[in-house]
Amino acid sequence: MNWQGWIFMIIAWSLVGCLFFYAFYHIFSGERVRHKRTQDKREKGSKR
Amino acid sequence: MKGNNKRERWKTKIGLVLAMSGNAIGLGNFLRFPGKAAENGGGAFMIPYFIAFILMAIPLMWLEWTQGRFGGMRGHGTTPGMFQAMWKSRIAKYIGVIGIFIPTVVVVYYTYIGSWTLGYGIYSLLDLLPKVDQTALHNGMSPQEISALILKPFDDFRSGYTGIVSGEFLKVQVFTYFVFIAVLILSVWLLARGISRGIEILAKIAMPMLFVIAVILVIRVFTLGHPVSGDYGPLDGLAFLWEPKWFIERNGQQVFVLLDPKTWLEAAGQMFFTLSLGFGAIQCYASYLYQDEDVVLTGMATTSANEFAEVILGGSLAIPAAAAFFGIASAQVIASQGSFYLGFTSIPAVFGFLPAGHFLGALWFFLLFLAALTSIVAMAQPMIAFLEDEIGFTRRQAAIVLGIFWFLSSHICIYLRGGWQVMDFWAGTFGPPLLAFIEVILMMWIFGGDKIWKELHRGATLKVPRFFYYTAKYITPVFLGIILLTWFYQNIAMPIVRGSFLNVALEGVEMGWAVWTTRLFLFFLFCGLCVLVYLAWRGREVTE
Repeated sequence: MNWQGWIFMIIAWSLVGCLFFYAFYHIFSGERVRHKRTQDKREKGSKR
Repeated sequence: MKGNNKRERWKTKIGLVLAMSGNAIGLGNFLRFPGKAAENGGGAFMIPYFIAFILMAIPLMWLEWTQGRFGGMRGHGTTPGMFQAMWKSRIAKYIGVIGIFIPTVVVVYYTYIGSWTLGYGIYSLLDLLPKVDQTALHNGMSPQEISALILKPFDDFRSGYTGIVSGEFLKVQVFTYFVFIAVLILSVWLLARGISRGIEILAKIAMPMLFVIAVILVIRVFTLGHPVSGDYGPLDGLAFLWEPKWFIERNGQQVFVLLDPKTWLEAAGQMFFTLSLGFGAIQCYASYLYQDEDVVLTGMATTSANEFAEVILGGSLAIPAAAAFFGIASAQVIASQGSFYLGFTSIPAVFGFLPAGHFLGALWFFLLFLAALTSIVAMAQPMIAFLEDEIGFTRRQAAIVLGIFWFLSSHICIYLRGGWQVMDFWAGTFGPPLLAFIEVILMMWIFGGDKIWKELHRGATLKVPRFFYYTAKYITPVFLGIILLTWFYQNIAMPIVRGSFLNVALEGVEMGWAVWTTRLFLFFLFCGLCVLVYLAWRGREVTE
């Protein structure tokens, strides 16, 4: 593959890869926060 | 709304993202994309591809998610109800019929095509596909020799499997028919189980499996080395796909790829097809969201998952595998023969040369089957939602009624020559840009861009750059308008001028009564759906 091919491929893969990891990082971190909140609520409930 | 006030909801956010990704990821990611990219300038094609992605696909995707959630909160899972809720005009709901017509037609032929992948997977697993002559392949074979000596048995097998033309009919194997019935029953069963117990569970199992299988196959393809000759290997396939070709041949003339309208149309068409935009399916899935669910982030996650599967995984499978065994010249010929030739003829032949090739072939077809199945249920869901929300059926009744219609109408695709091609032309090629154009005008201009913008950001953790507001309001409709006008010019105006409009089928198949029968079926289906909408709203208008 010539250098132009490598550049096009790397740019396209990076754009798609970054978008993918950025979106899923936020999804999973949001889910973790939500899960933790639910657990905290449950713990508070059981203490009462 | 006639249905139950308590609409079903997605159980988890990850389930929703995977189901939406399953809706988008289909055969197009693994078969259509590499072929289109290779045909339209390789790396150079990625420029219009990403411009279409930013200016058209991303704004449309967010608009469809927003419209879906907006409609779902008012008890509507399909576009007739959503359009009516956004535009208080009597005709709004009838225009919205396009949004149930498209997925209902697509699901009829897509299920049949999707069933081929399962049938091929079974044949491959049992090692019943044609055998390749290991000694026949050698360095320096011309594409014609490869087609005649290596690929022909697989092509003949495909013709036998998918139906041999006999007049206006197709002669189909009993096995093909039974596999189709099995896929149909499986799909109806999943739909009858509902959103969280059927579609969401399927997505949670199928999507991770799909990604794992795709990664295994990509690794296998890139460890092929130079199986036939030191002159070519899988990296040459990547070169074929990614090296920009600024000048390509079209109709015997050399054209600059970025100034050729066909390249832009192909890039935009691929965007619609791959992201399932303008199919009415995204709105339907989004209608099962909670009011404050983040559509900005989840929409972006599903889009990125689809692009990951297409650009990274889809581009690294079929073409590099074909190039490694048959060389660049033959890979070019294979890519130009279309998606089915690439997926059902060349890939089984490639795997035929490898140890445990039948197992790898089965993995390949199972990957395609998972991609197809998740898209099938997504395309069927709008009709289920329409019957539930607007007609008042229970989910089980809706699944049974749709299943019967699905079974009967599929026979047009199975037994009539050109049946599925006619359906694909109207519902899969012409319909989506039309529906998308209507949607964007309705939301940004009739309902109001500012209201939509506010609705989009409800519950959002990220703020969408204002650039997309202006893009959705001005650029996207112009982009879509140009696509539709060009389509009209190429397919309607030019054939009328040439005098071939009634003699040559627009759908790319030979004209005959089978083509007219399918067209009539589509016409009556559309009219029937309009009548259903009329009946569903009649009582409501009186009470309102």
